[in-house]
Amino acid sequence: MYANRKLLLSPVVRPSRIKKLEKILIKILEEEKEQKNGKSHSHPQKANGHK
Amino acid sequence: MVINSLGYNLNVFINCPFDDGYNAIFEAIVFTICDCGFTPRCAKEREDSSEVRIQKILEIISECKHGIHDISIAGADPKTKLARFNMPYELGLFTGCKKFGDEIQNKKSCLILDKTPYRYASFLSDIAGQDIRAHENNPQKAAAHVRNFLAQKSNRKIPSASIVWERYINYKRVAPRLAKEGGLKIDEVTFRERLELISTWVKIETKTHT
Repeated sequence: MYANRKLLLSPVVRPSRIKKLEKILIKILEEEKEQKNGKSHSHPQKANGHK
Repeated sequence: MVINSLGYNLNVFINCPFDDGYNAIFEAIVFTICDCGFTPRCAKEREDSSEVRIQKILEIISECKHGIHDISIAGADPKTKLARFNMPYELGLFTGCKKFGDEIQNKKSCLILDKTPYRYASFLSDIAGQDIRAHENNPQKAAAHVRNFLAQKSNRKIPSASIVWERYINYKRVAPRLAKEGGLKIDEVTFRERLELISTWVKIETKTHT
Protein backbone atom coordinates (compact mmCIF):
# COMPACT_ATOMS: atom_id res chain seq x y z
CA MET A 1 0.00 0.00 0.00
CA TYR A 2 2.90 2.31 0.70
CA ALA A 3 4.70 1.26 -2.50
CA ASN A 4 6.12 3.85 -4.91
CA ARG A 5 5.95 6.49 -2.29
CA LYS A 6 8.59 9.14 -2.11
CA LEU A 7 8.87 10.95 1.16
CA LEU A 8 9.29 14.67 0.71
CA LEU A 9 11.10 15.97 3.74
CA SER A 10 10.28 19.28 5.35
CA PRO A 11 12.78 22.04 4.53
CA VAL A 12 13.59 22.31 8.23
CA VAL A 13 14.58 18.67 8.58
CA ARG A 14 18.36 18.00 8.48
CA PRO A 15 19.17 15.10 6.10
CA SER A 16 22.35 14.25 8.08
CA ARG A 17 20.25 13.94 11.23
CA ILE A 18 17.77 11.67 9.46
CA LYS A 19 20.63 9.39 8.33
CA LYS A 20 21.91 9.12 11.89
CA LEU A 21 18.42 8.40 13.26
CA GLU A 22 17.81 5.84 10.51
CA LYS A 23 20.79 3.77 11.70
CA ILE A 24 19.56 3.93 15.29
CA LEU A 25 15.99 2.99 14.33
CA ILE A 26 17.10 0.05 12.17
CA LYS A 27 19.10 -1.26 15.15
CA ILE A 28 16.11 -0.83 17.49
CA LEU A 29 13.73 -2.58 15.09
CA GLU A 30 16.18 -5.46 14.56
CA GLU A 31 16.58 -5.90 18.31
CA GLU A 32 12.81 -5.90 18.74
CA LYS A 33 12.47 -8.49 15.98
CA GLU A 34 15.11 -10.72 17.58
CA GLN A 35 13.41 -10.43 20.96
CA LYS A 36 10.08 -11.32 19.40
CA ASN A 37 11.55 -14.31 17.54
CA GLY A 38 13.39 -15.40 20.69
CA LYS A 39 10.18 -15.35 22.67
CA SER A 40 8.19 -17.26 20.07
CA HIS A 41 10.97 -19.89 19.80
CA SER A 42 11.35 -20.37 23.53
CA HIS A 43 7.66 -20.98 24.07
CA PRO A 44 7.34 -24.30 22.14
CA GLN A 45 10.58 -25.57 23.73
CA LYS A 46 9.11 -24.92 27.15
CA ALA A 47 5.98 -26.71 26.18
CA ASN A 48 8.02 -29.66 24.87
CA GLY A 49 10.03 -29.72 28.09
CA HIS A 50 6.86 -30.32 30.06
CA LYS A 51 5.98 -33.26 27.85
CA MET B 1 8.59 34.63 -4.69
CA VAL B 2 9.63 31.41 -6.44
CA ILE B 3 7.72 28.43 -5.14
CA ASN B 4 8.77 24.85 -5.77
CA SER B 5 5.52 23.39 -7.17
CA LEU B 6 6.10 19.88 -5.83
CA GLY B 7 6.80 21.31 -2.41
CA TYR B 8 3.80 23.63 -2.63
CA ASN B 9 1.39 20.86 -3.62
CA LEU B 10 2.47 18.67 -0.72
CA ASN B 11 2.96 21.32 1.95
CA VAL B 12 0.32 21.42 4.69
CA PHE B 13 0.11 24.47 6.94
CA ILE B 14 -0.90 23.60 10.49
CA ASN B 15 -2.76 26.39 12.25
CA CYS B 16 -3.45 25.21 15.76
CA PRO B 17 -2.88 26.08 19.42
CA PHE B 18 0.58 25.32 20.77
CA ASP B 19 -0.64 24.71 24.32
CA ASP B 20 0.58 21.69 26.30
CA GLY B 21 -3.01 20.45 26.52
CA TYR B 22 -3.19 20.27 22.74
CA ASN B 23 0.09 18.36 22.25
CA ALA B 24 -1.52 14.95 21.79
CA ILE B 25 -3.71 16.18 18.92
CA PHE B 26 -0.88 18.21 17.40
CA GLU B 27 1.51 15.26 17.32
CA ALA B 28 -1.14 12.95 15.84
CA ILE B 29 -1.82 15.53 13.10
CA VAL B 30 1.89 15.97 12.31
CA PHE B 31 2.39 12.19 12.10
CA THR B 32 -0.68 11.72 9.89
CA ILE B 33 0.46 14.42 7.46
CA CYS B 34 3.90 12.76 7.15
CA ASP B 35 2.45 9.26 6.86
CA CYS B 36 0.10 10.39 4.08
CA GLY B 37 3.15 11.59 2.11
CA PHE B 38 2.67 15.32 2.76
CA THR B 39 4.94 17.81 4.53
CA PRO B 40 3.75 19.51 7.73
CA ARG B 41 4.63 23.20 8.04
CA CYS B 42 3.92 25.50 10.96
CA ALA B 43 5.15 28.61 12.76
CA LYS B 44 7.10 26.43 15.17
CA GLU B 45 9.43 25.20 12.44
CA ARG B 46 11.59 28.32 12.70
CA GLU B 47 12.52 29.51 16.16
CA ASP B 48 14.13 32.84 15.31
CA SER B 49 13.42 35.88 17.47
CA SER B 50 14.80 38.20 14.80
CA GLU B 51 11.88 37.28 12.52
CA VAL B 52 8.56 39.10 12.76
CA ARG B 53 6.07 36.36 13.62
CA ILE B 54 3.30 37.34 11.21
CA GLN B 55 5.81 37.71 8.38
CA LYS B 56 7.02 34.18 9.04
CA ILE B 57 3.43 32.85 9.12
CA LEU B 58 2.54 34.60 5.86
CA GLU B 59 5.63 33.15 4.20
CA ILE B 60 4.77 29.62 5.31
CA ILE B 61 1.10 30.05 4.25
CA SER B 62 2.26 31.18 0.79
CA GLU B 63 4.31 27.97 0.48
CA CYS B 64 1.44 25.63 1.40
CA LYS B 65 -1.35 24.46 -0.88
CA HIS B 66 -3.23 22.83 1.99
CA GLY B 67 -4.13 23.99 5.49
CA ILE B 68 -5.36 22.36 8.68
CA HIS B 69 -7.03 24.94 10.91
CA ASP B 70 -8.10 23.93 14.39
CA ILE B 71 -10.34 26.54 15.98
CA SER B 72 -11.22 24.38 19.00
CA ILE B 73 -9.26 26.59 21.40
CA ALA B 74 -10.46 29.90 19.99
CA GLY B 75 -12.83 30.49 22.91
CA ALA B 76 -12.25 32.63 25.99
CA ASP B 77 -9.03 32.12 27.89
CA PRO B 78 -9.96 31.02 31.46
CA LYS B 79 -7.44 33.43 33.00
CA THR B 80 -7.92 36.58 30.92
CA LYS B 81 -11.54 35.88 29.86
CA LEU B 82 -10.53 37.14 26.42
CA ALA B 83 -11.02 35.29 23.17
CA ARG B 84 -8.02 33.74 21.43
CA PHE B 85 -7.96 35.16 17.95
CA ASN B 86 -4.77 33.69 16.50
CA MET B 87 -6.30 30.59 14.93
CA PRO B 88 -9.33 32.35 13.33
CA TYR B 89 -6.98 35.16 12.21
CA GLU B 90 -4.61 32.74 10.47
CA LEU B 91 -7.59 30.93 8.93
CA GLY B 92 -8.64 34.32 7.55
CA LEU B 93 -5.16 34.94 6.16
CA PHE B 94 -5.18 31.53 4.49
CA THR B 95 -8.61 31.99 2.88
CA GLY B 96 -7.73 35.57 1.90
CA CYS B 97 -4.59 34.31 0.24
CA LYS B 98 -6.73 31.79 -1.70
CA LYS B 99 -9.23 34.44 -2.72
CA PHE B 100 -6.90 37.28 -3.67
CA GLY B 101 -3.68 35.47 -4.50
CA ASP B 102 -2.31 34.45 -7.90
CA GLU B 103 -3.25 31.27 -9.77
CA ILE B 104 -1.01 29.16 -7.52
CA GLN B 105 -2.57 30.53 -4.34
CA ASN B 106 -6.09 30.13 -5.79
CA LYS B 107 -5.62 26.35 -5.62
CA LYS B 108 -5.43 26.35 -1.84
CA SER B 109 -7.69 24.02 0.13
CA CYS B 110 -8.23 23.57 3.83
CA LEU B 111 -9.74 21.49 6.57
CA ILE B 112 -11.31 23.28 9.53
CA LEU B 113 -11.45 21.38 12.80
CA ASP B 114 -13.40 22.24 15.93
CA LYS B 115 -14.22 20.52 19.20
CA THR B 116 -17.91 19.86 18.58
CA PRO B 117 -20.20 20.23 15.55
CA TYR B 118 -21.72 23.70 15.01
CA ARG B 119 -19.93 25.25 18.02
CA TYR B 120 -18.18 27.65 15.61
CA ALA B 121 -21.58 29.22 14.78
CA SER B 122 -21.55 31.15 18.07
CA PHE B 123 -18.16 32.80 17.55
CA LEU B 124 -17.20 32.49 13.85
CA SER B 125 -20.48 32.33 11.96
CA ASP B 126 -18.85 33.67 8.78
CA ILE B 127 -17.58 30.16 8.07
CA ALA B 128 -21.11 28.71 8.12
CA GLY B 129 -21.70 26.71 4.97
CA GLN B 130 -18.18 25.33 4.99
CA ASP B 131 -17.50 21.77 6.09
CA ILE B 132 -16.24 21.85 9.65
CA ARG B 133 -15.13 18.58 11.23
CA ALA B 134 -15.43 17.89 14.95
CA HIS B 135 -12.64 15.98 16.73
CA GLU B 136 -14.11 16.11 20.26
CA ASN B 137 -10.59 16.61 21.63
CA ASN B 138 -9.76 13.09 20.52
CA PRO B 139 -6.38 12.74 18.73
CA GLN B 140 -7.53 9.65 16.81
CA LYS B 141 -10.60 11.49 15.48
CA ALA B 142 -8.48 14.52 14.53
CA ALA B 143 -5.98 12.26 12.74
CA ALA B 144 -8.81 10.50 10.87
CA HIS B 145 -10.22 13.83 9.64
CA VAL B 146 -6.76 14.89 8.47
CA ARG B 147 -6.17 11.55 6.72
CA ASN B 148 -9.56 11.69 4.98
CA PHE B 149 -8.95 15.28 3.85
CA LEU B 150 -5.47 14.49 2.48
CA ALA B 151 -6.68 11.29 0.80
CA GLN B 152 -8.91 13.47 -1.38
CA LYS B 153 -5.99 15.70 -2.27
CA SER B 154 -3.50 12.98 -3.11
CA ASN B 155 -2.99 11.13 -6.39
CA ARG B 156 -1.69 8.19 -4.42
CA LYS B 157 -3.55 5.54 -2.55
CA ILE B 158 -3.47 6.41 1.13
CA PRO B 159 -4.17 3.71 3.75
CA SER B 160 -7.38 3.91 5.78
CA ALA B 161 -7.49 6.05 8.89
CA SER B 162 -7.34 3.03 11.21
CA ILE B 163 -4.15 1.78 9.49
CA VAL B 164 -2.48 5.20 9.78
CA TRP B 165 -3.50 5.30 13.45
CA GLU B 166 -2.05 1.83 14.05
CA ARG B 167 1.22 3.03 12.51
CA TYR B 168 1.12 6.08 14.79
CA ILE B 169 0.80 3.81 17.84
CA ASN B 170 3.81 1.81 16.60
CA TYR B 171 5.78 5.03 16.13
CA LYS B 172 4.84 6.19 19.64
CA ARG B 173 6.13 2.91 21.04
CA VAL B 174 9.67 3.32 19.67
CA ALA B 175 9.88 7.14 19.70
CA PRO B 176 11.17 7.54 23.31
CA ARG B 177 14.03 5.08 22.68
CA LEU B 178 14.81 6.55 19.27
CA ALA B 179 14.96 10.00 20.83
CA LYS B 180 17.08 8.81 23.76
CA GLU B 181 19.63 7.02 21.60
CA GLY B 182 19.69 10.09 19.37
CA GLY B 183 20.63 12.21 22.41
CA LEU B 184 17.19 13.68 23.10
CA LYS B 185 14.39 13.43 25.65
CA ILE B 186 11.06 12.80 23.96
CA ASP B 187 9.24 15.24 26.26
CA GLU B 188 11.62 18.06 25.41
CA VAL B 189 11.99 17.80 21.63
CA THR B 190 11.39 20.85 19.47
CA PHE B 191 9.08 20.79 16.44
CA ARG B 192 12.04 20.21 14.11
CA GLU B 193 13.41 17.36 16.23
CA ARG B 194 9.97 15.73 16.44
CA LEU B 195 9.62 16.03 12.70
CA GLU B 196 13.00 14.35 12.26
CA LEU B 197 11.94 11.46 14.51
CA ILE B 198 8.64 11.02 12.67
CA SER B 199 10.19 11.39 9.21
CA THR B 200 12.82 8.77 10.05
CA TRP B 201 10.22 6.31 11.30
CA VAL B 202 7.93 6.84 8.29
CA LYS B 203 10.88 6.47 5.89
CA ILE B 204 12.15 3.22 7.43
CA GLU B 205 8.72 1.69 8.01
CA THR B 206 7.64 2.59 4.49
CA LYS B 207 10.74 0.87 3.06
CA THR B 208 10.11 -2.18 5.26
CA HIS B 209 6.55 -2.59 4.02
CA THR B 210 7.17 -2.19 0.26
